[in-house]
Amino acid sequence: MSLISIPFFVFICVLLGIYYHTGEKHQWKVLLAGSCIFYMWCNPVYIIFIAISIVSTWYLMRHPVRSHFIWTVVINLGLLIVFKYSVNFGIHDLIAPLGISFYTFMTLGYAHDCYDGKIKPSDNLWHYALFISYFPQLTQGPIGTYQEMQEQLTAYHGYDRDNLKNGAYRVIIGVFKKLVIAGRVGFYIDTVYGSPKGYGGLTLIVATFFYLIEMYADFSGYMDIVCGVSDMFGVRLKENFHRPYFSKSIPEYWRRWHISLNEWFNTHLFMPSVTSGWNRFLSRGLGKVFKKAKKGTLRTVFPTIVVWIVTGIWHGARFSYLGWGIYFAFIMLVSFCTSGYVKKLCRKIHWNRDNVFVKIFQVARTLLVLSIGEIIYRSESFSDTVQIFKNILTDTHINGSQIAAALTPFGNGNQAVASVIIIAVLVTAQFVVELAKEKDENAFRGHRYIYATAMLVVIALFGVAGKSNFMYQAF
Amino acid sequence: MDELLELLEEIRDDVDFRGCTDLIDGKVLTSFDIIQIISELDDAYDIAIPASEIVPENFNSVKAMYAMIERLKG
Repeated sequence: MSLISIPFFVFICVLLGIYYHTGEKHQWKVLLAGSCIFYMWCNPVYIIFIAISIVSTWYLMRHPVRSHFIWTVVINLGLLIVFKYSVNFGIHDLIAPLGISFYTFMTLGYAHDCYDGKIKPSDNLWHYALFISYFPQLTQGPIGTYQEMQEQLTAYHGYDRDNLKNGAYRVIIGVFKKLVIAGRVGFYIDTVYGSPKGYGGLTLIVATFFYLIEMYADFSGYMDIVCGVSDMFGVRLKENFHRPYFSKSIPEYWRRWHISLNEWFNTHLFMPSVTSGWNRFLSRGLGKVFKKAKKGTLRTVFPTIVVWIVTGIWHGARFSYLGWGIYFAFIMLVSFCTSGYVKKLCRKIHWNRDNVFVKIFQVARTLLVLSIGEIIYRSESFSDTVQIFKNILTDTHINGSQIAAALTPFGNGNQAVASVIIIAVLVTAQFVVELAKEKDENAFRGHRYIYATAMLVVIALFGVAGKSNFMYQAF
Repeated sequence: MDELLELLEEIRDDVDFRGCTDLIDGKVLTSFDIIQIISELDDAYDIAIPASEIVPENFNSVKAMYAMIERLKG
């Protein structure tokens, strides 16, 4: 069931009606039943796999000893690997269960926290089942933690008009971002990246810039929809995006983009690797070679490489994803190793890092470094990646013919001009809103009815129908 | 405690470790600072700080860090 569809709209309305007419004792059961219906809507059989994950994890982690923890990891990771990489083993007709990546992350996070003694294992299987299967966060996150979610999900939520209003407003924002902004630029990117050989540098730069816009509008639009839906039920989900394109460095960017996924990797893979015996041993060896390097810096080298390669492979077993992971591991390491020197240098030359021009430079630099990574990620093959970089570096000119060529993926004549104007206006409007919010979190809070109406009109006029699948759904 | 203070000030000489009690909650220290700190503590006190100990309560103040070291040494 797509989140932007009539059936989903009807489903939410009916579920809200039942939810707020159900008494304190049974209200959470409505959410659990709703989550089961949502899950079974696509393919009822696949509920078996999420059920295996839920029951086995809950049962094993009631006694969170080492062997139980290992079994939990083997079962959940095993299912994920079988479904996600079956194509790479020559099995082509196995479709992965909905949200398997995300519920596996939540399951493993829960098991790890139980094993570390950070949380008390759940004593109610159905409460735990709701935590894993809660439908707004099931398909693409945010990856909630047991500590954040459990009480909220099982507590009673009385009818609150503000929750419904705020939630509905946020859903409209999400649909606007997805159907209008991501939808509009999406066609251009698909056309250019589909056969990059035939395009000049300027067109490829525009397509890459559009890709940054599409990714943000798609992912954050999705998050707005699910957080809005969840708000209507009185359950606050974790915020997953914090205006990432205003980041002044790549590490900051990864703290502001898909926040829950990056926190998961930090808590359950990066920090355990940093403190592990194997890493202590390897970093001591590295210290013998790089004698002047700080111990802490050396301790980050191998965990950073591990985390980014795993993150890359998690996206899929493809060259572009692995290359993307290696690229960001390298960038993160450069950032870790040089941050101390850069700070000292700035102090020495009295470079004021709070100066607005310095900040603009840092943001632009971050976007440039990010764009390089996204070219690797978006390319359909290694030869395409090479071709795109080659064309950008050797065939970029600001002249009439390249500008005309950059307009062709939009269509012909008036259609191209209209598309450019619509995208320019929408992206500028979105940028103004984000910039205002970066300065003041409460900006654009008043006059919501006017904004909501305006967005609905724009969605009706310029929304791209048939583009309601979200990017992360594939993972 | 003085030895610990000296070690911390070597890592971040711009932080008032003596007076600050919300080093993590107040976002004074970054995660990268924490890695620097645990690496130095491991060697200086011959301990192995596990990932489960890396929680804000253990790093919000010098006193909390000292208590964690004593606990891990024991």
